[in-house]
Amino acid sequence: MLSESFHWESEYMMIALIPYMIKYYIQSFRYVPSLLFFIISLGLIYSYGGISVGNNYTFTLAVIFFFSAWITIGFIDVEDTIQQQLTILHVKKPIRYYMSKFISMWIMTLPFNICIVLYPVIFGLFNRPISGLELIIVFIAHVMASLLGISVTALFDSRLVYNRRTAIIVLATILTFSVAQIVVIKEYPIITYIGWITPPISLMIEGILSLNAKHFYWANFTSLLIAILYSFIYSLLLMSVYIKFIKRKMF
Amino acid sequence: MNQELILLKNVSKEYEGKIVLENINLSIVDNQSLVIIGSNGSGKSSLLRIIAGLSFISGGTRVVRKESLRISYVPEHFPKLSFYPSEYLLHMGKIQGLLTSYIKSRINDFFEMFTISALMQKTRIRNLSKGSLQKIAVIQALLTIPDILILDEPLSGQDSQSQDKFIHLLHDLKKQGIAIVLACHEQYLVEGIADKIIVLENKNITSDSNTSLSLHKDDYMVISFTLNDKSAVQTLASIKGVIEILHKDEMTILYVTFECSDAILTEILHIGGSICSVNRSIGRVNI
Repeated sequence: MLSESFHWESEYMMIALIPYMIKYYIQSFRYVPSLLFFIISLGLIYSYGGISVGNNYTFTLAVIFFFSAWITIGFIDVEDTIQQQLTILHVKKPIRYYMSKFISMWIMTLPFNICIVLYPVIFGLFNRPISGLELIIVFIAHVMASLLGISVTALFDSRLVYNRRTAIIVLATILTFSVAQIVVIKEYPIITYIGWITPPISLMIEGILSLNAKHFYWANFTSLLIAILYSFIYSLLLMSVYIKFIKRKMF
Repeated sequence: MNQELILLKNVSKEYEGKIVLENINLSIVDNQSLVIIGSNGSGKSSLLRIIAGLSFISGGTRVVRKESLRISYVPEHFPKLSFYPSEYLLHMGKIQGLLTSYIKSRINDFFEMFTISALMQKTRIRNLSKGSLQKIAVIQALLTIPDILILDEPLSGQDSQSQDKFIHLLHDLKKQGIAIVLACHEQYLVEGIADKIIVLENKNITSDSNTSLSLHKDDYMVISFTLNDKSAVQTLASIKGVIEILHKDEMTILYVTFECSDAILTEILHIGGSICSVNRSIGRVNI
């Protein structure tokens, strides 16, 4: 009787965890500040028409990077500590629990990515037509920016960095430097080496700026595609570092 | 022979540089109820989390002997969540891989058993009483039959009727061969359930005894008393009818056979003891 009542597959457990985690987060109302930030940013960007594709998506990429980080700050430790223990026992393996957490956060950012990328296209706010291929690559870049924001911020989980004020200050510095590093390094070349280890969001920003060209060139996309791939690998690395450390800090 | 499920070898645990458990050697076997006794802050909850595999141990090893070991945990303080009880339990069941129809029928059975059906659809968990919270904690742990059931002070906050039902439930689970590990201070729970009792003191296991209670559990007496001259307790150990002697804080607890209880009570008074309570246990019911 009991064995007939089970889907034993671990994938099923992870899929079942995602709606639970998202519901838990939504019930906490922690999303409100990040949602306000998103709406205000969207209003600021799109209050004027005739904007260039590259400049616009550079800005939205930075917005989605900060927005995803903000979501993560609220999401990563929203679940009560004792409830976390129960949830982990139910899914049997901590890695399933933490991977589901990353997937849940990433899924939550998806509608916002779709919205911020499609909005100017739907309302015809660009100064030139944009191709489907450009749109797909830009969307993937935004999704990667979300993943970067999530994976960097996860490392500032309250169980890893106890002092919340320090965590927020250091995180904000890292995120801002990552976005503005091209300009900062031009002014202060001595800190170039720091740019090697910070989240590679600026590489994607550089790639997207190439969309300011009047026509589509494959060559312009090469650097953007490399940046997307690099960001993906970088995020996976940070997530595995997070899981490694958080398991050592378990209860 | 009982199968070993988990083995702790020289396990130690530190929190922020402070040692809370040291050189713990313990074996969890199926079909056995292990009771952990200790004062507040003695590390009972930490030990339970280590057994459950929820805690990163600072030293030693935790060996799991059975594949796909299913462990359920009833915490002492269940969190005040925003979910409705039914909604929460449905999520907990689904993440264990259970079918929705099975979870619903199981939680309905539990709601009826604990007579809390009326509350479960309309009241959020955060608004439930401590007793009802504890019931939710128990139900989430028993949605599936675990190999090991870990309970941290499971009776705290429950009314006497619910306590009886819960003790009854524990006996049933024990009959099914589930390994039960519980930290508690309710004497009657220890008496009725324990096959083995360990006492945690000074970061270590100071007493580890296989109780003979199971041989006498149909009819035995529990005598609690205090004694100024602790060494005099030893004289009781050799008296006919004494099953087990335990120490908790200032109290000495004696498990004795019913037939010999009068003679033993006389002897306790004779050595200068002061009787605190005398209880008779028949099966699972305490008189």
